[in-house]
Amino acid sequence: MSTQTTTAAQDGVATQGPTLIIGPAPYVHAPLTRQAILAVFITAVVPVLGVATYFFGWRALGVAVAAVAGAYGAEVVAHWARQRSLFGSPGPALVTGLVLALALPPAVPLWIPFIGAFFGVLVAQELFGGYGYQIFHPAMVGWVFLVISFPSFMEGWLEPFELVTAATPLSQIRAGAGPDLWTLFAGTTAGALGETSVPAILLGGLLLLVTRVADWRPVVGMLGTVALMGWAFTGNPLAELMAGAALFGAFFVATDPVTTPLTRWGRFLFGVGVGLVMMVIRLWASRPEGVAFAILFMNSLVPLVNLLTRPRPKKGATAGA
Amino acid sequence: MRRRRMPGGVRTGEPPGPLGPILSLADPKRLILACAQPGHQLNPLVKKRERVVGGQRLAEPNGEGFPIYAPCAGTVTDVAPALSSTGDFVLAIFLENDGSGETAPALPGWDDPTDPTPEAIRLRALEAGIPDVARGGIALARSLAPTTPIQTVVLNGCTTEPLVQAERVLLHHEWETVLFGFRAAIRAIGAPEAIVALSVADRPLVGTLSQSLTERDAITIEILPDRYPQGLERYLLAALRGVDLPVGEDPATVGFAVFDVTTMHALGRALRDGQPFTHRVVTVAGDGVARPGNYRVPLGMPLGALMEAAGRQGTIRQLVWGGPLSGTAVASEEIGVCANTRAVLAYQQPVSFEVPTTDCIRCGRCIDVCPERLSPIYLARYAEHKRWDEAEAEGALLCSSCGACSYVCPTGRPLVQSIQLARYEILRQREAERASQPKEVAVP
Repeated sequence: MSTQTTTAAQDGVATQGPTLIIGPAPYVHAPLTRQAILAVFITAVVPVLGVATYFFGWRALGVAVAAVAGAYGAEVVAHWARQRSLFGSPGPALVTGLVLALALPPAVPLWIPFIGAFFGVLVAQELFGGYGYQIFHPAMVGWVFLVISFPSFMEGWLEPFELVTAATPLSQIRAGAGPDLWTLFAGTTAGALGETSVPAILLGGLLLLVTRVADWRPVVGMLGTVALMGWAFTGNPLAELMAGAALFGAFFVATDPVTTPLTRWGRFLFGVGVGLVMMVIRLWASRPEGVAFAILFMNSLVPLVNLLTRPRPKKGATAGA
Repeated sequence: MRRRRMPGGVRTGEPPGPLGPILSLADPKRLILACAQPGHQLNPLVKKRERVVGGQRLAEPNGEGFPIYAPCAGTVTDVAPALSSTGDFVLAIFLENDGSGETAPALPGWDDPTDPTPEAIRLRALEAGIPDVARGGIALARSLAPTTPIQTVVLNGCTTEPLVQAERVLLHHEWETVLFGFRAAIRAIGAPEAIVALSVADRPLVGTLSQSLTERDAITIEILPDRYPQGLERYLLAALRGVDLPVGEDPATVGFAVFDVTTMHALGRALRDGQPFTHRVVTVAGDGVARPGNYRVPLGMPLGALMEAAGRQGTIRQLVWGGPLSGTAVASEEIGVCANTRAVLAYQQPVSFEVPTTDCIRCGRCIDVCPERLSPIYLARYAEHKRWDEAEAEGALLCSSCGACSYVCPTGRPLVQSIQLARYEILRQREAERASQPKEVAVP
């Protein structure tokens, strides 16, 4: 600032103004900041959570709150252990908690979502360095942890409204008598809290795509693969798309920025891989559904996919020294 | 000759026309006219306390430069070093406006751009003190005398960046002058073909523009998508003609000459009206001014005075020289507007790091937008860990510093700045190696 004084003095005019602050570009930023991305994602989950509450009662909201509390609790504990400020942005915990909650059966006791989210965030996210460094989707890790540790609680499928025990459409389809397509579309079937209602998922998913918070490539890659394999092996691609967690996983899990590939083609391949693994599990493995396993499997391949689809600077472009 | 869209880039989101008028200003009380040009300094022709009139020559080149002229009449208060936008001190002429409005007689003009000979056009470009803004401000006369044959001359009407409209308003409101200059440039260079490249936001202009063209012109109008940094020559030529201009090379090496709108407008004025280059259009924006818009500003007008003229609002805490992606925040309001000042942005709060820097979320948006198909995420990481060799292998030297990666990064990471640091370190190492080599191969 002394320079300014000199120039002004030379000129004989006192123009010493307030201090200007220098700093790097950009001085205008693209609207999609990390916070905006998380906010849009959470907004997109709202219709799905709303329908879950309508179908399965207030209990659905309780499950969501418990899962978010577990996720945020894990962050606070990790921040305490790493001697950082305890209460960070709640965005990532909300995302992880909500995704896990919506992937759980309606009849779970409330401690189940809490410890599932707590484990997922602590082990899959915080131990890897915090949000941004995780390799595996924390909600899916939490889900698999619950399925392996508490299998009996993870089978609590209920019929919507009446809340009586029922079989999921996927098991019915495999048994040879699935519900008709309209019932599948409306989602008035047994299943995880957020996976049944197709309109709600499409509404939220469309918001993600239109705002460009999510890339369409993993969604199209995954759903396309599911439809193709469904058509080839069951002859009923629409049922394979609408029953189970395929739609929910495609829009809300396979589009996660952190645990998916960096490049556009990579993200497409990721979606294709998830669809493939999921259908293999559905058709030939002992479990009726396999979205979480498929996501985690493809998460582990992300570095490889990044390497394969890495953009190469144009050949022949020489650098001027 | 395959046409292709530039890879990557960001949408500018700039509104299509019609754009507001070019606003004029009262001549400011004081002017600070820098006497520095690429590679050399001008010789001042005036002394302290000397009286000058508008359009009078103030300084002369002592090599391959061009003279500068007084935008208005007044008294020279000093010839001394002044701060420039880069933070360096350069020799400058301080002029105090006496309000008399007295001007030197204009040079004779031509009614038609085909009247003057190519030699006369080059001479007038030099006499009128016109820089080739797109080529870092070397003399336009040099660009009009290419040493290699030029096939195509391009008017770059898509130097778009968010908020910056300085070039677009000239196309909208003073196209006749721009076309006059462009026709003269084509004539001076003797190129058989010419292109006016517009951004899609200016598609409504195509009708007016093509009406003013005649059969003899051999000028075609081409529309390119709304993308930043489409205006950089390398991407412009790739999009127009599928030509691969190597990084750092002059368009002349592939048979092209590219001119920006401001330069052609200045040439048109110099040839038709006999006026030297003393004013340019500057976009003023930001919440620090009550009347944002596109102003015709005399060269040398201090940024502070420009802020007053545009209705200073509140306390300006950050003042940006240039566009929001490629500009720099300056440390003083006592810097005079120069030929390359396309925009001045004023903010009441610092807007750098407005998006808080947090850990990378690996979304890949920086890779999506990079026009060089680099991976800014990796380059920045190498730079942060001082691994310069790996940064070079990843292509750090190919970066054109457009800043699209920093613009889109959701976590506010200074990606392009990290790459610039790597670039600086790599070139410094090379320089050091070069300096140490001659000793080893000593002359026997």
